[in-house]
Amino acid sequence: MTHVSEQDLVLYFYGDADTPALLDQHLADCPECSAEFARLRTTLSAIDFPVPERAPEYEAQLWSTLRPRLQQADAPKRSFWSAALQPRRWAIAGALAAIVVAAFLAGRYLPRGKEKSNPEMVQKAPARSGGDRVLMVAVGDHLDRTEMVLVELVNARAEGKVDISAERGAAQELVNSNRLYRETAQHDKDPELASMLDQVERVLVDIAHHPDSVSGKELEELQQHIESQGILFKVRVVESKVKARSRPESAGATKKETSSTL
Amino acid sequence: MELTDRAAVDEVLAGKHESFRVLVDRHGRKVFGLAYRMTGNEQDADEVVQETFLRSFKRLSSFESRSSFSTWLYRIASNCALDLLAKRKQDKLHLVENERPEEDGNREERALEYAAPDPDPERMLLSSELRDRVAKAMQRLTAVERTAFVLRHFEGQSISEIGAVLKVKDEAVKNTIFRAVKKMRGELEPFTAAGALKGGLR
Repeated sequence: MTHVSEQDLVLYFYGDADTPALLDQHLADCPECSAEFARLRTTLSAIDFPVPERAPEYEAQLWSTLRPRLQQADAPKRSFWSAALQPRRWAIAGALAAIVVAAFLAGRYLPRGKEKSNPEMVQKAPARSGGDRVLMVAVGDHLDRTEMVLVELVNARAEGKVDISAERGAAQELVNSNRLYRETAQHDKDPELASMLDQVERVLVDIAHHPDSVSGKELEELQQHIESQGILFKVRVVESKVKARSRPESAGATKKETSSTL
Repeated sequence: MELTDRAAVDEVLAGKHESFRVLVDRHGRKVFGLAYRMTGNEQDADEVVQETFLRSFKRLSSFESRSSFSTWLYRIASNCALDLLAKRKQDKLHLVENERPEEDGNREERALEYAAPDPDPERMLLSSELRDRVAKAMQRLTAVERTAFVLRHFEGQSISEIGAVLKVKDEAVKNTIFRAVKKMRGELEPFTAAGALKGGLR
């Protein structure tokens, strides 16, 4: 007699088995499987993780903490996303980001007369921490906006004709700033960040190359492309690291340290 | 008459932000329960609850009545908890990296201690060892395994609902739940065999 696999028993326990009637019958006829299922059931039935009681005024306290934060947040409106993704806003954001990067690059790579005349001072100065933070703030904002576009596309309903013009326009803008950051990371010998930005860029280019209006099937393919690469997860992970690098307390972090964490 | 979730959402979107309180009052405790089981401690659970409502408020316009508001909200809560678990994992890695060199086993044990739930008087009772075992067994699950297990075992969500949270197919959800159960059994069955689970914990 072929026995039931452990995985099938787990599915059966939770009511997710494809053929529960067959399993019922088998467990009635097979003492070994029946004993194995009894062991599984005993263990799983005993697993509890009690939630601590909340005070009766929990909701009132929660609301009083939340309320000021909600007041500071962007008010939700029906057109929130389309407004947030307006190409004009992205163009301004992209231009600002480009200025930040240009300033960073100028600071880093243009010759500085005073420093040349005082090599000791250059040696003692904390290596590139200020510039690195400036760049990380800009990259963090960039990844924030990238995440917003990807989340919006992944969650869009793939039915009929779908208007993705806002996301497409945003992706177009992001491609340009992404390229700038990627080249900077490469130049700066930060291969992990450069590699991640390279992957992001390919996805953004793909989005930007789509028409404003796509069919449900095309959107599904695009969603699969985004999801198959796990790009959203990677963006979130790198974004949190980049934000950590942009905080003043991480100013002393060496490049070796940051590279190993990315 | 009390507002339905949908009506409250509509009022918020129309600019009456105070109506969001209806949703907070109605779902706050349940979101806390889910967050607590996913994160394993009250402080992190409170953080997840705050973030969940903040995020849902900002994204309220994307809520369509295809699913119930609670399903939509718990999906956000699960994602917030997943994000926090990923962040805690990073923090733990940094913490472990910064510690003085020690045996690998001790290091792992120590990393787990940081994530273990805060002690409470109940855990001094007879079943406390078992509760610790369950808590530690759950801490040994990966973030994705823990999410799938909590949603299936405690929250009773369907495979496809869990798939929507994790953004994976049903088959992958089943495999993840199986891996989680296997790990839980590995940790807990020595107690089952010894009869320590007699009567269960429920």
